[in-house]
Amino acid sequence: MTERAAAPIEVEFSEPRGPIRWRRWLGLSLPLAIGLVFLLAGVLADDLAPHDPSFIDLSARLAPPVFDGGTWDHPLGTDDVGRDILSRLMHGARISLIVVAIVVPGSAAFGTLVGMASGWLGGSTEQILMRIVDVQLALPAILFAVLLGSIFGPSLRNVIIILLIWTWSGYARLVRSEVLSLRERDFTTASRALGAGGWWIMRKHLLPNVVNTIVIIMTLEVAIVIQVEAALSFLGVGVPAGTASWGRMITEGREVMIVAWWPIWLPGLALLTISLTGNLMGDWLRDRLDPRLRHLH
Amino acid sequence: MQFWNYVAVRLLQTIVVVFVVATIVFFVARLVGNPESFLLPYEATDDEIETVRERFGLNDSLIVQYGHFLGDLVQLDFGTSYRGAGTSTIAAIGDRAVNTLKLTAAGLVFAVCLSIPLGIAAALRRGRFTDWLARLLAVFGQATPSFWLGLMVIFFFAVELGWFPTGGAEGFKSLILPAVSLGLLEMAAIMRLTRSGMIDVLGADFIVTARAKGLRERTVITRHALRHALLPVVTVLGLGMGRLIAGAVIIEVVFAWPGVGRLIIDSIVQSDYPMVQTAIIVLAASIALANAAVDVSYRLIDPRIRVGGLG
Repeated sequence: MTERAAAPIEVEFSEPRGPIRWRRWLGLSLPLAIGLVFLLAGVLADDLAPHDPSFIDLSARLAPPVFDGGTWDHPLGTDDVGRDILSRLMHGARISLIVVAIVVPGSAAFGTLVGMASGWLGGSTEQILMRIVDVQLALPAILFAVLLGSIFGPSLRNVIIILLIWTWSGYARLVRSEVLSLRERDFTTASRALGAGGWWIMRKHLLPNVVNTIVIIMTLEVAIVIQVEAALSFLGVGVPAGTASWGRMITEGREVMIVAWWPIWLPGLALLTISLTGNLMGDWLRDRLDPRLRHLH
Repeated sequence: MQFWNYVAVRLLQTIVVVFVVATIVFFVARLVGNPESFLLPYEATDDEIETVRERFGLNDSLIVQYGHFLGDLVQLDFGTSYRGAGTSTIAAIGDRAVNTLKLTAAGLVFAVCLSIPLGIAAALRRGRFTDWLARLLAVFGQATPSFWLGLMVIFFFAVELGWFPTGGAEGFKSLILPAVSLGLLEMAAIMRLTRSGMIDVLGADFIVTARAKGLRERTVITRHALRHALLPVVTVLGLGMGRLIAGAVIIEVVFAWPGVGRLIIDSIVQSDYPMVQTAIIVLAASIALANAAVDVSYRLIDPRIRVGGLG
């Protein structure tokens, strides 16, 4: 027995005029297509990339992209030491994908568990867990990241650990508040009266009811995770120097910003595009699954 | 006086949070190796090293060091910096904190002043050009990485056009670019929330009644609809304060802004733990206080909570 939203909520989609159908179709298929391109580029970077992403060729430094007077040898040009930007973007996509693939499901699982436990058990468990969430909200994670990065040296592992620590509390708070209202509902009480254990109720009654919320946050979290990874790499505490990551590429592009636009614009645009895609997909899901969550993001 | 009870409890919680943050920072900062190597010339003798370790209490066990740290903290003594001939860390941070405060406040002002009018305008002209433009701005504002945006605006408005300085904190002009880069994300978030809140509330019965009473449209919007629509905005603003303070760290690095964030990053490079420790505690305390202030003001604003809370 599963129940969805508390009351049927009237959702009015917001295009009162214009060709509604193709817009709505585009609203989903365009982000999906871009997401797919990103996924393929990252997964198949070794096979698809035209060059070795860290191959330095000083004779070809700062070659412009093909649409700005360059050649097809380097379709998106080269950076200040002659590395192929397209290949670096693809390998950078892989770094972002790895981070997303570990952090998003990981923090969702942990945050959901904490949220359910504190909502269901209540009492001192709830108090302690929620104070931990408070601490986390007050500790500027970016500073913590810089601190950890300076101690253990920049590495992908640090980035992943920091992002895991940073993102789980969002799930925990939302899931907790949903569980708080669910536990008083008739179907939970009935189930308890029939002798169901806490674990059973959580699995069979609570989880199906919060799964929408979790999926929506996970989608919106993709863009955040990718951006934070880039920001940490930009500050020099993310992935090690030399690794092809979008944040690193922006740092390196900054040095030659005045003479060449592409080394800083292209990774920035990649970051912007993928964030847009994640947010649009999250919005789309939210409008359809749970419009009450509009305040997220 | 249930309200004041609530304020007291919330303040107490804030103190506990700051205490825990301080503890975490203390132990994490102690994980790094030898600060004496930064304090002394390369060729220092063992004796000299020993004197320095003794002076900063680095020879005591971790627990004893922690005890001293807590004792000083309670007396609001945050210790002295390893660098600059024993300057008090809190004094050094004081100057920087003013700059960070300026930057954060400017970012917040930019976000609020632009987002709320824009959100209202978009809601009132739903589906028309204004709405379309506002939503486009929101979507891009939320997806643009702030550090990249910062570099781009430096390039266009400072290097190419020369309208603003490229960095530093010299007067009002130097504040504009960093504040806009910092505030854009919050701007987009508050704008979206205002818009959707207004759209919801404009269909409500009490708005229809207000119009039916013959009130001017302006009064209906500002006195009736807006008050209602802004409630969720206050909550988001609270979390936004934390995001702004944390985001200021990156923006300070991009714009060479002499704030606490940059101080922390510089101090980490120099292994100046007391400085890092104090700066992070100060930032965390200000975020925790901001969160508490928002919770308290939420009780004051929302009549439903107020009735329940004050009895």
